[in-house]
Amino acid sequence: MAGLKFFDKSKALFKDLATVVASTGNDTSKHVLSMKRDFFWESVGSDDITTETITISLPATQAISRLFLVTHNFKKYQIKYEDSGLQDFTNVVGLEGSLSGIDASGYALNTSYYTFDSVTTDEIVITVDTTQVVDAEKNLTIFIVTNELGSFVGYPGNRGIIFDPNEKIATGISGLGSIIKGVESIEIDLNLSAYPNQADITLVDTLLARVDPFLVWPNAGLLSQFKLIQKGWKLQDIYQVQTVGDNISGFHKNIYTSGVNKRISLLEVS
Amino acid sequence: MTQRYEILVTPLVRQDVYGSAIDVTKDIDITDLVSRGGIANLIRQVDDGDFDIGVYTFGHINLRCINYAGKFSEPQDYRSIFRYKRDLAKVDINFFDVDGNEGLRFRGLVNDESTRDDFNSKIVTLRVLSLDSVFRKTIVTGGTVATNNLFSTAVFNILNVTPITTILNLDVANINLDVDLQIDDGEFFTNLTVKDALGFLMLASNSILIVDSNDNIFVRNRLENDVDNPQHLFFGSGDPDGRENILRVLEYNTGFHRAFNSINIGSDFGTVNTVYQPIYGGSQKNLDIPFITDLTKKQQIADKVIEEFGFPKTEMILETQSQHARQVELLDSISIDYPKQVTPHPGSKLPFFGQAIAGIAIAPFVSGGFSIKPQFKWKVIAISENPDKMLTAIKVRRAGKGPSDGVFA
Repeated sequence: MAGLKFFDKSKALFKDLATVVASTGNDTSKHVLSMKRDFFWESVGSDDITTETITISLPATQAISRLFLVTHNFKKYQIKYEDSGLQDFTNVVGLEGSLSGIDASGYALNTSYYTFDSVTTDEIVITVDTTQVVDAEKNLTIFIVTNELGSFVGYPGNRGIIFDPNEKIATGISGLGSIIKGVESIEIDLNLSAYPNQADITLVDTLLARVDPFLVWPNAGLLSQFKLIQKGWKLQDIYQVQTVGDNISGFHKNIYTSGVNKRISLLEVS
Repeated sequence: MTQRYEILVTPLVRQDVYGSAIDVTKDIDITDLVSRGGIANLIRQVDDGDFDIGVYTFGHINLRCINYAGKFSEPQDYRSIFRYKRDLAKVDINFFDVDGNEGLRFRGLVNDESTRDDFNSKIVTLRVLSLDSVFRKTIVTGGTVATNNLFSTAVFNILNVTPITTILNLDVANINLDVDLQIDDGEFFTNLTVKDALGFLMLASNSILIVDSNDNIFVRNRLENDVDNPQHLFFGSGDPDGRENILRVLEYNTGFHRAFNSINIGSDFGTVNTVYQPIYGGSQKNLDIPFITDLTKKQQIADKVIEEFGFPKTEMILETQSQHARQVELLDSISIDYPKQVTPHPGSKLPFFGQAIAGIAIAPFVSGGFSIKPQFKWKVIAISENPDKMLTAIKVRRAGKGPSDGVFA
């Protein structure tokens, strides 16, 4: 599981008073700021000759260096930020490689991720021209702007990403069960055993000390490292989590010159 | 920054005189001395209980203090911070949220009658009553209330005594009763405790007494603090915009237990609301108001009680993190947006009005036993904070007095 990436929580959350205006389908535009995987924005009456615009206003001027468009169908689009006029991001690296600004013309994946030189802004503008399926309504599920907290270099042990359906179970008189599944939440347990990498250990300590939630991206944008793909490890699988449990610091077999033993459990939060 | 509670103690230095502001956080860190789980729930409420209508905001806590260094011992111990006496020392409990914003959550007085010193565990348990507990220790003297005094005059006179005004701020401009009638027997109040005397007057006037965070006494009606706009917003787990801040909804009920459509006052007066009683059945309340003998006045009082409590109003308890309830006060107006949970069919998207196409979109799974619309207006009638778990339970009742009110404009 190399490259597990961690980010600050999005700077553009609706509940933190970020706002959004879309050229069409504006009633659903705020869904992109909710971190909810089932809710999305969709244009109304759009096609490939109609350009849609989504303008996101942050609650305050903030520094950002990472941007996600999670689960979308955009093929040709541009993203700029406001700083005395709309500006291009610089030193951009996306999933498709190095770019001059965020300006896609033939995007084919369902999620976009960009790193760029840090900018300070309170407004981001997304302009969408065409979709991956010709003349389809344009849609976007989650928009994130943030900064990276760090990425794992090594391979912490884990028992996989646990999806809790939060089910309500009752047993009827007949003995048959009645199961109602609630909103799914995830849990990730990482076990660093005799762990040798200092940067990862420092990152874990940082995450355990955090008061605010943060984002975890298991896929980390490294598609090539997966032979098979499954739920939780897909490009669009990014979760808002918080650590739960104690921070236990120790060395393997208590030998100070050996690796570190540490555990970190992540629980999805609202 | 982590959210935290802070506890400050201001002892008396001599009778009725408190010490000049002792910064106990810096010099004597009281929070270090309060053992985990040592603070019981902080409770403030408008009514006495579920099956009654009452008048009080009267809470108390037990403060378990680790006394290894003698800081909480009696004044005879030179190490004690109580130089005159422990009784009536002020205790402030402040809450700091993750952003460092401070809010006073409880202010009370040590009641030394109930203080317990445990020699074995070195624990001193201080019983701290809310500031208005001074009412229980103050007696109404003869002549305080005269026959034909208005309720408001009686309230002011009863409160305007040194033991109370030393601790609380009293201003006649803050005495605004819902029903203000002339008293038929002023002597009734002589030798009652202030608590009991006020209890009778609050009931008769359909009013409540509140002490705010600045120690000001307010006597007022039961109307919510902002009738037009919600002062606080709460969202359930189905909120599509990720604003969920309600952890649990508890004790959701119809409010029938607190609806009274038949009122008796004494043995010579009774009245019935003939509109509500056939619908909801008879629910009778006997009011004890010995200082009112005039039947016309009894009718006015009864009419007001039936107007206030005649129609059952839904009640429930919202459990939330204390940081979300930091600024919630009694009688604040609240909007609750608690939609049902919607989940799309596998392989399909949620259909939204104005975008879904008939014949293509698939209706989602909808779960949840009930929902609450945000345009309904609720008012806060009790607040219970658990400092140990950083959780607050807010009891709310649907605002309004009839079947069609209690909504935001």
